Amino acid sequence: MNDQAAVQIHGVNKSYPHFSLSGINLDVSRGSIMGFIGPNGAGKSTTLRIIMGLVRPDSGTVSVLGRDIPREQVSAKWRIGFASEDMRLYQAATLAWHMAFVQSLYTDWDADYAARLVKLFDLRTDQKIKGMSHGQRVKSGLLLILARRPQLLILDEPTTGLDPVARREVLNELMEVLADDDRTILFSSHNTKDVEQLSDTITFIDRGRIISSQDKEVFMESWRRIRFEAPADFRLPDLPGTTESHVKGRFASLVTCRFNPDLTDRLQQCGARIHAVERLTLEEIFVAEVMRSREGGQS
Amino acid sequence: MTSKTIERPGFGLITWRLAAKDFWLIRWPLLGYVTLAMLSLILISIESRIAFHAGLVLMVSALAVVGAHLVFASTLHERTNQTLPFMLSLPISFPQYALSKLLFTVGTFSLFWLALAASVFAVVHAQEFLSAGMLPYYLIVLGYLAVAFVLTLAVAMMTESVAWTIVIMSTGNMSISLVMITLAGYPGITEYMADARAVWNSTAIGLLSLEALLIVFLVSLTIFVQSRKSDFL
Repeated sequence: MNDQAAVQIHGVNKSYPHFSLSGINLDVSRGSIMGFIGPNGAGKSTTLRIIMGLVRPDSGTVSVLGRDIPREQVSAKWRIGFASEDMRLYQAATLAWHMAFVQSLYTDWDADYAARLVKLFDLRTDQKIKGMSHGQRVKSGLLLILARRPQLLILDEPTTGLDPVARREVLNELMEVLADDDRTILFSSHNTKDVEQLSDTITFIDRGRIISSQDKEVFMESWRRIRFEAPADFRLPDLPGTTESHVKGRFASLVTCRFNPDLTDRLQQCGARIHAVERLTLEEIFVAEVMRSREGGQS
Repeated sequence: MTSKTIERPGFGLITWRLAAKDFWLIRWPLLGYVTLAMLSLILISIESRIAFHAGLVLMVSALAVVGAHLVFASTLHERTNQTLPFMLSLPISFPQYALSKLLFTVGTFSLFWLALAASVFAVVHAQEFLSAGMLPYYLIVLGYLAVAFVLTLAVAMMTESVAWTIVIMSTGNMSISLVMITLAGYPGITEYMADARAVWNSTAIGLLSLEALLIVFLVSLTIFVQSRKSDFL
């Protein structure tokens, strides 16, 4: 067991009638921020619920902050802040009531920080949840979590449905939380921009399987699109890591997940004139990874 | 890793706070039901056979409505209103969560039930025109209401299905009249209903014991099933 890991999942399987998670392995280091990206129905929420002990896996082991899950979930949950897109607060109660309720359970509730978050998020504590906008509700939920100063934040689609201003406020606050090196964040999203901004590690999941998990910079440095002009008799050499290639007349492009300068040298040796070597956005990388996984081609 | 010793509230205190939270959330409807129950008590206290029976009907209705509200507001709405993920994100286990629900719903219903049953006893003994021989009958009917409530609660908690809960609750409420009519002609009960004093014979005690056993069984079954659940969302 890795003591430096905040979350460790090994060989986790979970079957439902129309969906299954298969052989999930995931390590989230303490102090890291992992973005968990996948299309709708990929298994992000199920994985996060397994980590929280809310869903019991059919097989495999889960350890969170050194606690065996789900057996020691209560002990672990003292130090975890969890929010999900489908989580709602009590409509008829005010934010102040929710704060008092959570504070009555968490003796380490940081009242000063909570008051600061109320101001920062532009919330009114005397307002009932049912009178709040979606953005205010999301921010209220985050406030209730952050003021507990959890060591591990698990956020399932935290920015879904937020307007740009509310999204910026939430992301900014999460960035501030990250200043604490000891705090770990695992958050799922299908908004790759949010993930790209916050994460230092990225995991892609699709159809119940982890298809890739790496340091963000490794992802960003490995993937490139190379645009080049090819002579008439040009034949694309067998380049490892090529995930797609297009030739249209004299102009061609290829996408690789294993970029290194040798690649362009080899293309040039085959007569290609390199026009551009472009970085891919995280969204492009994500789509390419998913397509590659679905085609079964781990080149 | 910085580690400081933090005093955590214990299992019992957290369970109590969860139950208190449920109480606070439906305090206004509960106040309304208390008013309804008080009205039924005023009616049964009036020196009139018609007022007494009108009061009893209101009392039975109040108990049935309280039971339904408790079951829906405290258990099913937690899922349909999507507040369950919030609750389960807190440092509580699912059995503890379920226990708090039982504590609140059964506790609140019991308070209503005991107050109304005690009032019926008091009024029947106080009013000369009412025969005390009716007491076993009244108590068995009230007991049946308690069984119907616990059955509905058990189904709601175990199945988490609004549809099944409505089916069981409706069946329970509709069958009250049938139970009252059947019981009024039941050997061992019917013969003593006009007596000046209550007769607690083996039939009355047996039926009351059966109801008590059913309640204990249903509550135990609910705790057992909830403690074995593995998926909560």
